[in-house]
Amino acid sequence: MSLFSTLKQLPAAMLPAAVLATHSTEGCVVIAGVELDQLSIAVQVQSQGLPVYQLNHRDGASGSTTGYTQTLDLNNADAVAGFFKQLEKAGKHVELLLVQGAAPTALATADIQSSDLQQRWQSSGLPAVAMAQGAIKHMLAKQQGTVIFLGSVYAASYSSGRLADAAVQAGVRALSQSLAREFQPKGIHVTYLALTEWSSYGEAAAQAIASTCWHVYRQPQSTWSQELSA
Amino acid sequence: MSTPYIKNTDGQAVNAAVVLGVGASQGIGAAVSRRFAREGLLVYVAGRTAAKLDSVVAEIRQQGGQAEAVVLDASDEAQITRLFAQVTERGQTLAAVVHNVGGNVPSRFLGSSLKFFNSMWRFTFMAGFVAGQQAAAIMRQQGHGSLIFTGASASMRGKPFFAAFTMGKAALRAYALGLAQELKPLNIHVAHVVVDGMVDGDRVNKAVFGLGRLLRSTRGTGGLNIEAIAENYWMLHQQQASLWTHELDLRPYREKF
Repeated sequence: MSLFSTLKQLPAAMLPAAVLATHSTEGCVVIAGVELDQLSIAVQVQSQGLPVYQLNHRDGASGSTTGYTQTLDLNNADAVAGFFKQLEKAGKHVELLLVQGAAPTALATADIQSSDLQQRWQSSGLPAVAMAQGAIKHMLAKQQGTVIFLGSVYAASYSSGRLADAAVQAGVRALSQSLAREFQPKGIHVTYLALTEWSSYGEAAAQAIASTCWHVYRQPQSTWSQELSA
Repeated sequence: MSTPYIKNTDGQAVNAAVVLGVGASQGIGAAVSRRFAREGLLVYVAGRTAAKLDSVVAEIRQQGGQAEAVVLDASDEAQITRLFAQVTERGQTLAAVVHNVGGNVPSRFLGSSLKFFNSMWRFTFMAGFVAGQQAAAIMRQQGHGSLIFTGASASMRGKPFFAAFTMGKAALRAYALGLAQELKPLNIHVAHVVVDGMVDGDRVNKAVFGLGRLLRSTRGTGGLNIEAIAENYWMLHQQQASLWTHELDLRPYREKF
């Protein structure tokens, strides 16, 4: 009897989601948002053979329809829904979704304009909503999947010059909480990862983030995290 | 409504308060307006519906206070800018600004359009941000002032079926508390009030053909009293700088937290 078969005979509450998912060849990982290249490479190292799709957000992008790396307007619900339909047609099931917004940038509070916040909302807030909607609808079919929002520690702690990012990330953090409470009972694991360093800062940061995400993905159902920092 | 207008312009008080998001007479905005006017401030009672504002202004005047109705869309930056400009052009001191905009709208996450999320973001967060930035700019010049934001349970906790509302309210809380840190050394008091429960006001009581009142009355102590809420806002405005409160939660004694 293989180790995998042995594990499958244990009670579900003791098993990591990855095992419950039977690690079929149909599983896949989706990484969506901005500045994804470093993260994507690091996740591929972690993903143990699961294909990794990278969805780069660009306003107004019409989107290519093939390949593991695509460019989409993630604020276009139809485009996002189309991507998941395309995966389903290809017989894929998204086991893990990572959504990453833009890395924080310093901006003095008195200088923040509405346009600064709208830009952050468009690049980090609304794509989180759109991707979560698309992925959760898709994941509910199997009642399994993990959604991780890569956010910021500024969401819950004040730092001078970071108020614009803090506000938008506080919104994404609250979204994550709301979705966790609504969809965890239906088998979907939703987590907010509050980052101190972003994957775009370099290879080491990207690897550390990917490793933490993989740990969350593999958490058994009896011990799911809703929020952690890294 | 492309621009706000101030009518019944007979207020001459030097100290003014702007209360944004005033609706029914039996609501938080109206109660705060009445409370601040009682202390001699000229209150700019701002909201979307002229008839409701007129009613609140009439009440205040009947009690000997000074108030002016300002019809505006609080999510429209140009209208907010015009309102604050009018206050300063009149040589009045902006003693307090109370931001009370943004209604609690439940929704099914998977059935909600991105347009709905955009709209909720605009009303629950961006409107507060715009008012906050404009008020802070004036208060920096003055060297004092109180800026109070109305929050909700959703400011603290993301609950199911309130994803859009909680995104905006949590963002507003982060903004308010951050602003408080930055403006405190400048003698400007910023506070965020978490109204953590059902409010005993018209908005709840008249919801779903009066079923809201029934729901509220079956919950614990029957909801938060609006005049009691307003008393807390006035307390915040009155606090000494050495002991400012930046976040205040309010709930009936039986409300869960």
